[in-house]
Amino acid sequence: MNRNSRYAANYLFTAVVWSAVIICCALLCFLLSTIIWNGVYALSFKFLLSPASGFGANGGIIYQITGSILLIAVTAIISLPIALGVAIYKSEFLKSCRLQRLSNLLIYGLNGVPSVIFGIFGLIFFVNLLGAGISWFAGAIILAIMILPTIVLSTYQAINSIPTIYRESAQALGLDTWQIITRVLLPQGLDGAITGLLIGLARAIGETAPIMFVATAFSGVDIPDSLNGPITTLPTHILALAKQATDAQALQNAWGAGLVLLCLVMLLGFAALMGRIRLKTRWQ
Amino acid sequence: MTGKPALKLVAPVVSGATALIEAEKFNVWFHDTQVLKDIAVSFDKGLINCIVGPSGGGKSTFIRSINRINDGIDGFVVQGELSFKGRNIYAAGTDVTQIRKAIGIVFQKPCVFPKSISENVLFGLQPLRITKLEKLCVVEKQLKAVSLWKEVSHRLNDPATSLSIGQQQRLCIARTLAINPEVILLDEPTSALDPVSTRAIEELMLKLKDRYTLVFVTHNIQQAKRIADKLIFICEGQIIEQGDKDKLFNQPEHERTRIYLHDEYCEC
Ligand SMILES: Nc1ncnc2c1ncn2[C@@H]1O[C@H](COP(=O)(O)OP(=O)(O)OP(=O)(O)O)[C@@H](O)[C@H]1O
Ligand SMILES: [Mg+2]
Repeated sequence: MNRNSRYAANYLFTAVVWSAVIICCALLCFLLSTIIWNGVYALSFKFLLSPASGFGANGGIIYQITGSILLIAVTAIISLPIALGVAIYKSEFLKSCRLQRLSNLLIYGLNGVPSVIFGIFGLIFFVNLLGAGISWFAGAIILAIMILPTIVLSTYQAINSIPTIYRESAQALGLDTWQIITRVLLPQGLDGAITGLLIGLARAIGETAPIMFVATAFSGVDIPDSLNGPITTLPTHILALAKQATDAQALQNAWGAGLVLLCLVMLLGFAALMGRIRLKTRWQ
Repeated sequence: MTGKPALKLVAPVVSGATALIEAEKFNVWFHDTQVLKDIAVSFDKGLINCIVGPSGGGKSTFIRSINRINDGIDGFVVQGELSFKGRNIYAAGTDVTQIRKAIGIVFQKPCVFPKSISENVLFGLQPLRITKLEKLCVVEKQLKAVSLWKEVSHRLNDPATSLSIGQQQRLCIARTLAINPEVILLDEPTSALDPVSTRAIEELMLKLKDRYTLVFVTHNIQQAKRIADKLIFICEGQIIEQGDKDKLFNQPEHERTRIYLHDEYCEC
């Protein structure tokens, strides 16, 4: 290659990279501005705090907000301890190389399962096999399984990044395995777990497919008073409203609900980012 | 292979009745590589037992084997006799945490936990089994023992990572003292430190040697000259020579010992 063609290749490459960046940013800006632009008109205290009526075309989204938050809160409570257990088992007890690889395969495999498959699984397992009927709790279990890999990997990474010398120093003081787990590994792994949890929840709160067959109903739902019974969430509400797109009021409410959902997701994402930063500074 | 159980009856040893740790034909492998060969040594109470030798000779491997920190390393295999108070450390059914509580170790690089200074001192204790007052007593006593109390008494709740490296190393020693061990192993504890901190640790060793059995690994021959009582020269996994410090420095039996101790050079 002579000098000129090297310069040309260099420029070309820079141009390709920059245009990719610009396209991504432009798309993101376009999406965000559209949602904000259209959603802002729907937002009011009344919209946020009153229940939906007329299949969502009228009224607000209070029960969709509470439903979404309840669902992911229970998802978090179910998935966090399981993920901590799996991550600790993987880092401390799974010594064989082959089992390590198998566990990676399973975790990444679970992570790659399309969300609608979780929905079908829920339908077959909870509704058909167990005869549970529509149950929001079953939905939370499905979401917990769905986000499990994210939390496990992030926790495992955090635990695995603890330098060996910390383990050895704790061992040298006569701490047994359990004490090392609770006093050295968990405090450190918890940051990673929370980060993974928030990322997972940010994904879970926006999902419709895994829960729409087992956990949700489109209208006439308020706050559930038992583990059984349906729930209504922001994404399923948006889906229902979008189906009535000819109704201008319904469409505007859909934009409004979309904006609220986006804010919740960004909140979770922001919290996860903060967790990441804290994690980085903790052990040098 | 984790060594045979202690069948050997502990006959009262005539001269070294105070030896707490004894090794006899002690061998270590990492996978297929033999790292220690037929180690035979005893560490006496009230002395600073100093291990010297060139890099890669197996000094760390040996003292880490004494309190079984090497157990977690893949491919670690031991054979032969290594006993603490006459009982084989590697005998089946030995309570490893008990061994580690009785034989503390301080590593080359100070490693404090990301907690406060006083929590670091108390790290090896059962937090639920002692009262707040006892905790304060332990913290004060051990920080005084390592001459750190004056420097940090006004900021016990500060993060331990805010201390200087030399202070951190003394904190690590305080943490080890707090679990009340009988033996303290130190693996080049001063090699990351400046001369002043090094001096402080050396003085600390001299102060502690009456109450503990100390095993001190060092690269620094001048340091060995300053503080050692007994000197053990390890090279390529074997003990070349051991004995009284003055004897090794002045009339070594082996040419290699003389060359190493005087020219800091080893041709093994
Ligand atoms: N975890 C391990 N796995 C395999 N081999 C090891 C391991 N740790 C140490 N070794 C080998 O054992 C030998 C002795 O190492 P060791 O760390 O005990 O030497 P040392 O005398 O402490 O050296 P230094 O003075 O540099 O600290 C070296 O050849 C080293 O490569
Ligand atoms: Mg070493």
